[in-house]
Amino acid sequence: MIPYPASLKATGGAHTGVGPVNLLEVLDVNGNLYLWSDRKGNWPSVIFAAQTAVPPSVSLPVDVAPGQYVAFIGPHEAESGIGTDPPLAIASVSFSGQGAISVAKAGLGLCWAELDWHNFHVPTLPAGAVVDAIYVGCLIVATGHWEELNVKLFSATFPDGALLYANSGSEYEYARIDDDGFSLSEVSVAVIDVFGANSASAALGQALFTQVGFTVYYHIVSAGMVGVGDGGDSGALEIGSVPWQPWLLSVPELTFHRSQQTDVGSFVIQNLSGDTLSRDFEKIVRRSALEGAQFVFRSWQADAEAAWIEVHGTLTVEDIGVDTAKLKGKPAVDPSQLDTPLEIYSETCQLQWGGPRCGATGSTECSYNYQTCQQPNRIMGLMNNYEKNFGENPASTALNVINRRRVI
Amino acid sequence: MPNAATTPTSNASDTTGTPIPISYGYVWATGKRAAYYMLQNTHTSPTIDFSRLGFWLLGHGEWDGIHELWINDALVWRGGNAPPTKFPDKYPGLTQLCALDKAEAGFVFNFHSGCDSPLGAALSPDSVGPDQRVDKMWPMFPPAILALPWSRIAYYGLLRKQPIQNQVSNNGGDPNNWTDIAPIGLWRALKCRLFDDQGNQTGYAFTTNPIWHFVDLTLRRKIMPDYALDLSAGPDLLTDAARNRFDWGDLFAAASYCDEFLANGRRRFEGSYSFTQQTSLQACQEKILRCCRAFSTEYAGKISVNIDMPRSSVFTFSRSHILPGSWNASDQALNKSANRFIASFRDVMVPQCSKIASITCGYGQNPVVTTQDPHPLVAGDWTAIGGTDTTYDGEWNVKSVPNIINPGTIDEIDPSTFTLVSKGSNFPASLGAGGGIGLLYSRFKNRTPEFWHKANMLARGVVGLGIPRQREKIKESLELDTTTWDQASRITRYERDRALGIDQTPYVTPPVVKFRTSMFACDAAGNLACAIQCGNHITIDDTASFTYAGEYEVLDKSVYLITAHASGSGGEIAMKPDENSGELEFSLGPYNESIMYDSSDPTQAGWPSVPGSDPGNNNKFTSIPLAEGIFSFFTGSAQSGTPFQLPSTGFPVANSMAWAGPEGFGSGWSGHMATIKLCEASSALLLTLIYENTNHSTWHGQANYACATWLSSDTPTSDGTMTWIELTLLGGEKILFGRGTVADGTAFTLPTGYSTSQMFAVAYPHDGVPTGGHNAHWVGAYVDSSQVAHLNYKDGEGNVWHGNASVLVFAWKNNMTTWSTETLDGGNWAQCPLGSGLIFGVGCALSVADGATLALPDAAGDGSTLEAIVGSSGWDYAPMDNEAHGVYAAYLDSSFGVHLQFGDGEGHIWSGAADVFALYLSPASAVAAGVTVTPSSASVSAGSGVQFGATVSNNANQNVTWDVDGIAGGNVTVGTIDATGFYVAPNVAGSHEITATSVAAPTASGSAAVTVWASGDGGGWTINGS
Repeated sequence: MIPYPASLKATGGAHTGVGPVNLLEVLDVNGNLYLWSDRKGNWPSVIFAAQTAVPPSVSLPVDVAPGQYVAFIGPHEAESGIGTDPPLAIASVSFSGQGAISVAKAGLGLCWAELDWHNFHVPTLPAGAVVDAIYVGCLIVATGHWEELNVKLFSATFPDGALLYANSGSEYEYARIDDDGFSLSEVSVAVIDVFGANSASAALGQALFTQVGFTVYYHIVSAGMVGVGDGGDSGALEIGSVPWQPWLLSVPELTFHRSQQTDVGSFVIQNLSGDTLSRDFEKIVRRSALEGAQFVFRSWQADAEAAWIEVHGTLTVEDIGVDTAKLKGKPAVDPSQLDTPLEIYSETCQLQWGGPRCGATGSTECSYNYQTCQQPNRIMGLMNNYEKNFGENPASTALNVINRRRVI
Repeated sequence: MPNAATTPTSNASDTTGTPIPISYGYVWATGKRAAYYMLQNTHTSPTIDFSRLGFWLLGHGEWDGIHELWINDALVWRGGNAPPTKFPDKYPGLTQLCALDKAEAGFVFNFHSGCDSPLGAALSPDSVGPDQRVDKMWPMFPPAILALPWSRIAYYGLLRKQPIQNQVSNNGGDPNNWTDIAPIGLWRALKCRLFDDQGNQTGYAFTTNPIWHFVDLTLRRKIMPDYALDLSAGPDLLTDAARNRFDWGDLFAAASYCDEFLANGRRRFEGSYSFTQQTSLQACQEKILRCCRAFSTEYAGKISVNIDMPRSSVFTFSRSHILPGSWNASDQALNKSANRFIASFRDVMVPQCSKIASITCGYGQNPVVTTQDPHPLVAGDWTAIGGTDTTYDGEWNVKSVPNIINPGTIDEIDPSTFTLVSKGSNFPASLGAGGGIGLLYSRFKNRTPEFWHKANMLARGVVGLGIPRQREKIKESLELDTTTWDQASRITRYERDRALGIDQTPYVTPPVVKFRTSMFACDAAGNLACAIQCGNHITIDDTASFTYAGEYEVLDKSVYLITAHASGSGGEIAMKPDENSGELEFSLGPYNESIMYDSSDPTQAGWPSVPGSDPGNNNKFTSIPLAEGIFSFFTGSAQSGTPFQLPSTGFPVANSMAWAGPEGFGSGWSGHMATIKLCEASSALLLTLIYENTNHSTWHGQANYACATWLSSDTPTSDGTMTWIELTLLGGEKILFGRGTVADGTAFTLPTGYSTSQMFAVAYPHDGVPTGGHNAHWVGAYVDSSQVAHLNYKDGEGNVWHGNASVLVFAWKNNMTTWSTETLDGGNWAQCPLGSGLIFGVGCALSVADGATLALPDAAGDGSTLEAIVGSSGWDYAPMDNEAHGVYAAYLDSSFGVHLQFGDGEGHIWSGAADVFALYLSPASAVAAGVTVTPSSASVSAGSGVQFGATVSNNANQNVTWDVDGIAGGNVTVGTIDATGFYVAPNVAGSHEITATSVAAPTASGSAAVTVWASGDGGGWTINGS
């Protein structure tokens, strides 16, 4: 059984006289999100909620206000720099994407480590999104002499640009943390061990930086939408509602089988809005790639805030007519179309460059051969160009002959 | 014959272009040969010239390991049995194995499990496995070879100097004496992630559970193919998005169902398959699902797997639900259906070649087996014995077979006896008929047993008027890959009967029903029709159809959404409501629990297998429900070096606690025991038992083990001496297991909240250092009444020395006050009811004499599980002036007799004392609870009261409810009774029945009769006419 909420049983269907609305949301390969319904209104979006979900391990700097949304942006690159003054023998420093740093030094003087994170992938915000604030943050878990650095650093960077720590460590007896520049493209901090500056004894400390990234607070402004949950023409929407365009004309019959297969037919979208020379839907098709776009379809019972049917899948453009367009849906994972096992023994490396299995961290994609491999430890290929090929089979092997009676 | 001039390194072109296999469970595989070479001109002494070396690629990693390696049809390696030694010649550091057949000196076997090669590691050949660095054998290939670690591919390297069959001489310098190698192995293939019902990864281990295979394959191929896999840390955890693609509640329920043990002692469904040819993911998934009677569905982006298992109806359709004109019921069209189902599989079990008539074994001698008929075995054969239900069940090497008398003549008499190579102590001296034996070599035979639907064959066998019907056979082959006959039988008959109906007379073909209902339909129980999913069990009542009323399974569900057809041109769109808007259409097939077979059909053809001969045939376990999760406890015994496995339903290795004690000593003893060097069930689930003499020579033995593992969020704590795990049973009672390795004389302290009066503690030898050059006559470990652990060795002169003991502690908090205790023949037992009607109990009997019988509580009787581990705790029961080779026997027999003996390998056996720790789970129905009401009868005057009491037997929960004449609590007419059993009579005379009913076992009740006398006028008494 589909685990329906009690609200659907209580209010759904004929109970209240409110009919379900058909909702089709589409996310294309370029990150564009389209929300189409068969009538005007605003309803929550499954894709939007998944995109903007804050990782459960991230703690928010401030509470989310009614009507606000939150998106989290994490780094995809990290690097470190280490220095001392005067030059010291630093026993150990390690650094990873998370930013684990450990310092053990000998002699008088300062030593520091600069940690940088880059390449923040900004998620696609829905149309009408207005950013209220962006906080940059990182969680520091320190031990040893640095244990007082255990803080969550937050700094509001937008809209006023002030670099104000909501909660930061200040210099104390052993170490301090400096912000070395927070921007939307880079987070940089410096850990400075000050203990040894005035002492001959070694200062030891370890710190782990996690949850590095930006937390984006925003709300959505939309005008002219009328529907359930709509706050009117003022543009102030309820929490969890996003604007939908009433372009969805008809939806297909959905058939589920006692197998992983789900039959999905064609969704019909109107192709009228805009002008006759440049229809809105045509513009979407030309600037985007609906081929392979991900879709979520729901038959949504607004008064119960639950779906009678929810289907996830992928789309292909079937036909774009003068007034209507057909988008054909099918399951996102169609196991009948997936070669298995996928990988073969080959001189071509089968891994995805830069992925966890490959491990390459360079900036240029390889050619998936040994000559351009950046991580030969991981290359998934057979290298047998050294072999002599005499065209002979190995000599036949003398096997024991097993020919025994079986008595049962 | 190959020679130095003609044997090149192998051409690997037969490997390139072929798929990298994905294999699960047990596989019988050689692998793709990626490199091969014959050594020559090495100038070594002894020469290793003409040794062959090569690498064979097995498939996608990470594989778990190997059970058996065969080369040229000879078993040369059994996992864990042969300790690696150092390779002695010009290639120092190579791991050389002592081959079982001892054919020659040079044998190197390096297995690389197929994890990721370490990033940044040098490509220098320095690995002997199981890591994924470059193998150490590469330098033996010709120079300038590009050696790579084959990241993420499981592979092995072999070096072996293989003699030809029927060698004329063993001249190492003569190339004609040595030949190529053709290896093949019995492997434990891919390790899989294991999950709980929330999708939390609880483990990463080898498993035969098809559900985890399905999840792994789906992840590996599509959902999350790119992840890092470290040898130590395991694979990356699933991302939240990947985890959200699965319905973990359904998956976990299905995995648990597969994991259950059936009456035949086997898990319900296990899977072993190797996908070596490129096909579709769907085909691979279907094979996995077929092996466990399962189907997969996807809803709202979540993939789930459900097994066709008994389940409740989720909706009852009545006439009012059926849309007019939509009802369509008929027979299924079977004219093209198969009725001759062929189960095509390779048998993971060993076919039985002979039945055992008897086994005899003199003390310290090689067992002699007599078969009921002449057998085909020859000396050197590796065999499997099963079905004796004794320690003889296992794998044995044949030492000798009598000669055939009058071979080749009409008077030929073939041998019916053979002698096994002794495996040490603890094997019965005499055994009667029962069980069978087979050749390990003949495992993995292709089998194609047929399962005919005879009724359907006859139904379709019309020939002509007056001509008897023939059986028309239409075949269908079910590819089941590697399995057992039992499972193949159950699955194939299910497929057959699901398609054709039950094979019986009169034959009734299965119906198919199709109808439409409203999208918002709701049945009398408030269930919504729209919530029905394919595979659900639904009911058609007789108001919908008198003929077709019954139980059905939903095969297809179509949803006609509320929508309209859109059409238009020229800037206009016309909308026309869909005809079936807002309707659901269901296609149904029969729901039939009788075809969900849990036992194979004994009437079907098929050769018998040696019971329990499949690899890794692990013990049963007792699973106890926790308030949140489940915990399992199991015991067993096995030879040193043998791994044991946790239940495959997601129990993480980290959530386990295991203990081991000596059970016997092996045949390779090399002196008298001075101490036990190591007795351990390691955190890697590996058993070790090593005895040591005063000269530090060692030999192995068999070990008993017990293991507790839990699938919950509970985490162990440590106080420096002991590691504790506290679990909360279903119902709320808290229990505690503790494990620690402590020096003799060390005391432990229970965690806060636990009392030593509610605790059982035993100990086993863990390790010790020989002192004084004494040889031990006994060894015993125990925990005294002050919670001090002891491990003592003693010789015949009264010398006593010590070592470190492994301590097992169980305690209960009784925080819900449901525990009860009893003492039976000196054994102490504690039990408590679980909320589901189960009874959980634990017991401990200390210093039990060899040969005594362990008295069990009633609840631990028939129908319950019983897990027990026996360990040596003392001596002096039968003083014997002999020096022991080790513990000769330590076990609980099928009649619950306790055995604890020592032996010297020379025919002398003497007794010791045993500590027995036992745990059981009893279904409430196993031992019927009873309620006794006291007094059994009473007479009271009207309006007065009497106190009744109730005792619940066979259930720790003494709570009862009271009624009078069937009325709970009574009333003013029959009298009232309160929760304590105090009865107040009504104001009128009469007879009534007081009944007390057990809360824990509601079917148990007891009664008492009460007679109410009318009170006389003026307050006097009237005594019934007298």
